[in-house]
Order: sequence, then structure tokens, then C-alpha cells
Amino acid sequence: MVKSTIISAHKANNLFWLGRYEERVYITLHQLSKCCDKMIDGETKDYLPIWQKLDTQGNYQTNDEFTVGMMYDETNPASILSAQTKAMDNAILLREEIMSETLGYLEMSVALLKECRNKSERNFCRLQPVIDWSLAFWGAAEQRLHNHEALYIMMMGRNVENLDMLLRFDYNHERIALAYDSLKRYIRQMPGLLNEDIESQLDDLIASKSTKISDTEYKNCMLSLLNQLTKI
Amino acid sequence: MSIKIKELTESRNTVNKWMERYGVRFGVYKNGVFNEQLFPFDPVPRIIWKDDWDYLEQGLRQRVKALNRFLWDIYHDKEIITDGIVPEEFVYSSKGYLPECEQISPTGGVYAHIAGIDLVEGKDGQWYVLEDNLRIPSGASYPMIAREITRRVSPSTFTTHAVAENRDYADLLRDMMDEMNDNRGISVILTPGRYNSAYFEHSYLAEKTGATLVYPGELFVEDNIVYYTGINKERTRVGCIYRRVSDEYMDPMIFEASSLLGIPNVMQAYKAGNVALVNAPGNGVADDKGIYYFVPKMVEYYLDEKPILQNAPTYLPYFKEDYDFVLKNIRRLVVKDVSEAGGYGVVFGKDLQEDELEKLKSLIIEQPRRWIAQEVIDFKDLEILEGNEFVERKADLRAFVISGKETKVWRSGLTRFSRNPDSFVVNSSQGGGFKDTWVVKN
Amino acid sequence: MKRYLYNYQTIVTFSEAVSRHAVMLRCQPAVNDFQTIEQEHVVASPDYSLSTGTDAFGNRILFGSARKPQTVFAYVSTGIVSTETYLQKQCGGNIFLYRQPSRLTGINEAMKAAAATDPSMTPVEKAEELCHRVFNMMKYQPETTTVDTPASEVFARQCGVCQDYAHLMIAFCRANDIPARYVNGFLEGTGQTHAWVEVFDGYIWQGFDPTHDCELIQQGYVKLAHGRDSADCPVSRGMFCGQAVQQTQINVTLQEL
Repeated sequence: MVKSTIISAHKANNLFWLGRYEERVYITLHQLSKCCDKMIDGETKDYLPIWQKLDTQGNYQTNDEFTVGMMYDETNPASILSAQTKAMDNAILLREEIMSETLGYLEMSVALLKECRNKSERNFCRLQPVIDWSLAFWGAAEQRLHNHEALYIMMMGRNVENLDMLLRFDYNHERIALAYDSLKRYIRQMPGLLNEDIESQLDDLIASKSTKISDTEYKNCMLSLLNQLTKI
Repeated sequence: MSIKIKELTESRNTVNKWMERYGVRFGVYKNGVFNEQLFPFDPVPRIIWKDDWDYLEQGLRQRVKALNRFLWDIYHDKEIITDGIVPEEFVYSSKGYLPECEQISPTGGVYAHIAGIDLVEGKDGQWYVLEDNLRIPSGASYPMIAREITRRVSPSTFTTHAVAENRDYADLLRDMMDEMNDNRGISVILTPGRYNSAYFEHSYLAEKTGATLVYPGELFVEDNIVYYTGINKERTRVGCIYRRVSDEYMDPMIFEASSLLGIPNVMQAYKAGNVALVNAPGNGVADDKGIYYFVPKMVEYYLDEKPILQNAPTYLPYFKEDYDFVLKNIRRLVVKDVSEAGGYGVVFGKDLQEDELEKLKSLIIEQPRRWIAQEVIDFKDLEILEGNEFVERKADLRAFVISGKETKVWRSGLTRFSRNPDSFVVNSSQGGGFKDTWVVKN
Repeated sequence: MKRYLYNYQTIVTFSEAVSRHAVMLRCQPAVNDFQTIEQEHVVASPDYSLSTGTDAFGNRILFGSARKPQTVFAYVSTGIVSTETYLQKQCGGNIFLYRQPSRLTGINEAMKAAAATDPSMTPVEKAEELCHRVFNMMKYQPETTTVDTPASEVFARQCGVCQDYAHLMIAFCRANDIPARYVNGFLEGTGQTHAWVEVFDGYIWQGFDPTHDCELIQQGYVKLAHGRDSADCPVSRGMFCGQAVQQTQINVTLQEL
């Protein structure tokens, strides 16, 4: 059978967003776990900064509401279940690219999250398999995606999301610059999908180390450019 | 000889977990809302002994060969009509007959590349064909993946019993597509999209055959050649389309004009021999309820052989003798409306009140051509595991026959059962489940 | 014999560029027992690749697609055609198709009653009677129907344009088991395309124009294509990708020479 190596616009879009949402699941879990740790015996001021960054819409009042909502609230687009479902919505359209084995990790994560939600499971530790499966997913994808361009597009999504999250959570410049480097590794493989003009603006911003502009402005500017970097 | 499946039934929960992991689902529309659910799997396989299977295989091959010959004839010389075997009104008034397919000659004369033949086994041990599905039969992916999982979960079961491999369905499909693909373009599976009830199957078969899964709007015709395009506007030629979109939506330029699922002018490219369509458009004329009656006659007419497989005893009120018989015995028969748009559906005479029966009779008298009547077959029940109990339920078998250069029968099939003990309907959209089908050496 | 100069011109404009515009045209006069083409030319926008072919009903077609995004699609079909008395022999082909209801010519009980004819009449006499009946029943009223209005709706409203007149007459004929088909083409002095009916009497197809109460057409009609109903043989059909709004300007001239 003559195999096509062509990736349609439709599939490229799914690959990119699968990468983004799956990375969002992972980082949200990481941040939420940090926040939950501080909530065990900490003062409000200890965990409020992360809380506010996770719950940008100010949906929740109590610690309990916050934890459960961030895990399972399907009406909150920032919740883990929402992000995992979105990742799944893209992945389901890519079965023949990523293979059933790879897709299976996401299926299991969605099923586990729903099961925990139905049991009103509050212990964050029950979601550990979602973290494990997320990493297994990336490993499987790298092993099984025979079409390298498809893998690059997915990794572009993953790295855009990573950088986006690092910016939102105020990581230091060094980490941001590393993440940007990592993103560029993949983007360079797919020159046709790159907005070169945006790339050079981002290059300048990273090089300028935010000395000239206030942090918020710098951050928002980076975020807005980042989201225009690819043509997907 | 008996089959030991204890280990398999005991690992039922593990099997179901794997089914969930692989997303073995089908979609259902309820009140206009799309819902995906797991397709309930029953671990007790349907066993068909090799000897019985050999007989079925021969019969299926013969039947599908005749059906392909019939389709060629109908869209070319129409000898079977001229020779008075099939009356022309049964052909031309069938909704599945497409004048747009006249004189088109698909590669190798194959129309029904993938045929799904629905059979039941009677209590007398006799197999009967209930229906031929020659348009876009679905279901093969389910036993395929079930086998993948059950072998993993209960390896010893398959060490003990010599069960014929069924994961080779993808190879059968791939080889057939390659044989049809005269132009060496890429092979694709065209799906209507994720909200189609069989979307799982479309994507799974794409994965297993290596064909590209394509969505409406991703294929286009230029200079009478079909292309697939990528994100950088690069294009590649398409040689074979295994399409899971129905005939009427395939080409908005000559069929349903509002269709967004189809490929404009694909029928012209197909007519010119520039692309293979699997299955061929226009097949509906051969799996029409009214034409079903004539299939055994086709076997004799085209192949000069005695039909190996039997139809359920069927009467056509169109013929005087059958007309009298049907009116007299209607109470014990099942009556089917051939004009699909009519919506009368399938009616069991025994379920009708006196006045309803009279009404049905008057409809038959008015338009005899519109109806067929069949004997109700007392078919064999199969065991299923419900809770911790084994109970008996109605089940049918969809066998898959793949026709490329040769006609091959897949050594397995989709066994569907009804969960409702009183129901004869084994439709998956009505809450039924499925079983794997094992062909086992005696 | 009569000779006509015909000129059919269409300009389709899109509110924004559309991609992969695909078209199928039936804009050239039919070649048959009563029509001979002396000259013909089709000129279309150069960015379109068009091929010629024949459809399921024996009509000549032009089909193809744009190679690049387009904002306009224009074409002209022009030439000289000579016509004899409107009669067409049937050789081969499938009459059955024209005997049963099609999507736009479905029939109901009330229509059956309205289509009843004296069984002693010949098919042609019946068709003449039905043509007349449709003409008297209907009121010519543009913009009360669409290209998709079925005969049953036309029958209920009793108004419409030539397409609706033709569908209703076809439904009536088929209710009498008379094969009938839909025809579109040019009629002198109308400035647009016209639709009428052909009826099969067992040997030949003859023309009837229920819109003008014209039984047994003789001359003055130039046929483009026929089908079971209008959906089988539109002069043009197009599909494109994009959100654009489409405007179509059509100009028809038929001039006796």
C-alpha cells in the first residue's frame, strides 16, 4: 500500500492541540499538587499566589471547593478533567497516527478522572496514574509516531503550552529561555508552519531579559506573541 | 469435543477494562444528541467448527460472486432482466439502483468489495441468509479487537483450542485495496467524521491497514484526478477510496446537492477509471429486500451452480402463487416493506390485532410489489453471560466476504445478540452486544 | 427546418474568494433527431479546467474545477442550431425511470384524483388533456417556489414557474403510467432558460409546454437536457469551500436566423 506522508491541515491542528492540552494536564496537576501541599498546614498567603493563577476566574471559595473544582469541574475550562477531555477530543481523531496503544493512556486517564469525580474523591494522590499515563503517553507517541512531521507538530504544541504555563506561573527568565530554546528545536523542523516575523520579535524579547519593560507587560507581550508563533 | 472458556469468562472484567482502554465504542443518537457508549462484549464466543465453516465459506463465496456478477449485469447488459429471471420493476424501482452508474466498469468487475452477509442458524442446524449488506457493512473491527484483547488476557484458552486467526482482516482489506488501486495513488478511508456511529471502526481499520483516514473536504478532484492535500499545500494522488459515506452523499454534483460529506465530481473521476471506490456506488440495488428473493436464482443463472446457502423461505406477493399464499398465511409470516421510505418496516403477523391484519392485507392487495413475506425462522439461541448466570439469547452472524482479484471469506465474523430475552432484534443500536466468532478445528 | 443563434451567458460572483470551486454544466444544446449543431463555442474563465462527458440521462456535460481561489466564474455557450419538428425516437435506454415518481414528482391521493383520465384515450391524448389541466389549474407567480419545491407542494398551492408546471404535469402523466421527463432549454423571446415536458407514446418522445398551454411542441424550443425531474439536469451546479455569498447573473438569447 502506498502510504501518504502528507499531514492535512485538519490533522495538524489536532496534533498541535493534543500536544498543548496534554501538556496542560501535566502542568496543572503539578501546580495543583504544589498548592494542595501548602494547603495541608500552611497559611493562606503561602498558597494564594498559585491558587489565583490556577483559578483565574475566581470560581471557588473554600479549599475543598477549589481542589475538587480544579480536578473535575467540567464547566471550568482550566480543570484537569476539562483539559484531559480536550486532549482526548483531539486524540480520538488521530488514532491511526498515534496508534491505539498510545491513545489508550488518554482513554484511561479520562475514565479514571470520571470515576474519581463520581466518587467525589478528594485525595489528590488518587490522580497519580494520570501523571504516570501522561508521561507514558509521550513516550509511546515518540516510539510509535512513524511520521516525524506529525511528532514535531505535536511537540510544538507541547512546548508552546509549556512555555505559556511557565510564563503564567512566573518562572524565572532562565527557565523561560530554556523552554523557548526547546520549542525552537521543533519549530525549525517545520519552517513552513512558522511566522518568521513573530519569531524574530520573540527572539528579541528573550534576549532583552525584560530589563526595559515591566514584568506584566513583558509577560503579556510574550504570551500574545507565543500564541501567534505557528500558523496552526 | 468441548471448548473450555472458564478462564475467559472469569477474566471478563479485565477484558472489559481493555475494551475501555482501547475505546471500543459505537455512537448512538438519542433525541438528536450524540452519545458514545462501550459496545457490550460477551466473553462466550460463538463456536463454528471447521467442517461447518468450510460449508459456510463455500456458500458465502458463491453467493457474493453471484451478487457481483449481478451488479455488473445490471449496470451493463441486463441479461438477467431480458432472460426473465428478475422482473425489471424490481430493479429499477429499487432505491439503490443508480442510473448514474450505468456503463461504469469498476476494476476486476468488483462492486461489493466488502460484503457483510447476515446469517442465522436454525434450530435444525441449517444456516439461513437473512440479508446481504453490500453498501457499507460495518462491524468487523469489533471481533478483531476482541481477539487481540482476549488472547492477551487468557492466552491458555488459545493454546488449548485451535482458533483460526481473525486479526488478518486488515491484511485482507489492504490487499484488496492494493488490487483495486490501478493508479498507485495512496489508499484512504473516507469517514463522515467522529460523530458517525461507526467512527471507532473507521479509525481502527485505518490504523491496522495503514490507509490514511480522511474527512469530508480533504479530498478534491482536479483534471479528473482525486487528490489529498497537506498543510503546506502539497498534494498527493489518491488511488483507492474505501468510503464509509453513503452513495447519495458521495458526489454533490450529481447526487444530493446539499451534501458536505462528498467529493465534487468524484463520480466522473471514478467513471474515467482514475480512482477506485470501495464499495462501488449503486450496490443498493443488489441488497434490496425485494431483490433478496432472487439471489439463489442469480447463483444458478450466473454460475450455473446449485446455491449452497439458503434464504429464509420468502414469498413475493408480486407473483400470483405467492400472493395467494401470503394472504392466506399472513398470521404466521413476517412481512417486510420493500419501499424503504414507506416506513412500515418489519411486522410479525402474529403480533397484529385483527383490524391491523386486515389493513396490512389491503395494503398488500393494493401494491403487491411493495412487500415481501418470510417464514419466521426458529433460530438457535446462544449462551451469554449475564451477571454470573448463563442465559440464552437470540443471535445472528455477520460474515465478511472480501472481493479483490479473488473472493475471500474472513474466518470469523460479528456475532450480535439481543439482550432482551423476548427480542428477535439483534441491532447494536438497540442495546444488543457482540461476541467474537471462533472458527475451531475439530 | 429553422435555424437559431443561441447565446447563453452566466456570471457568478462571490463576495470573497472561494477555493476549489467545482462545477458541472449542461449549457450546450442536445444533439438529437430534431436538433443539429452547426456551430458551437463554450468560453469559460481560464483558471478552470473543464472536461466533457455524458451524464446518466445521455445529456452532454462540462465539468471541472478551479485551479486557484476565485471571485468570479463566467462562461458563455453560443452557436447556431437548426431544428426540425420536435420528435425524438427512443433507441435503447431505460424508459422505466421515467414512469415512476422521482424525488420532486411524488404523488398523493388528491393528485391521483386530479390526474384521472378517460381510459379509452391514447397516451398522447391523455398528455394533451393533462397539459391543459395543469395550465388551467396553475397561476404563473415567480418567487413563490424554489428549485426544490416538489410537485405535491405545487399542487397544493397551484402557483409557480415553468419548472413547477413541468413537475406537476410529469407527476400527473406518471400517475397514468405514461413515461414523462423534464426538459430544460431555450424558448424564443423569453430571455431566460425554460422548462417543459417530454412524453413517451410507446415509440417517440414528444414535447409539451404546460406553462404556455402548448400541446405537441413543433418548433421554437431548443433543448439542452432532460432527466427524471429538474434535479437531474440543472444547467449548472457548483460547490465551493468558503463562506462567500454567491450572486448569479444569467443572460439568454435565442434568435431565429
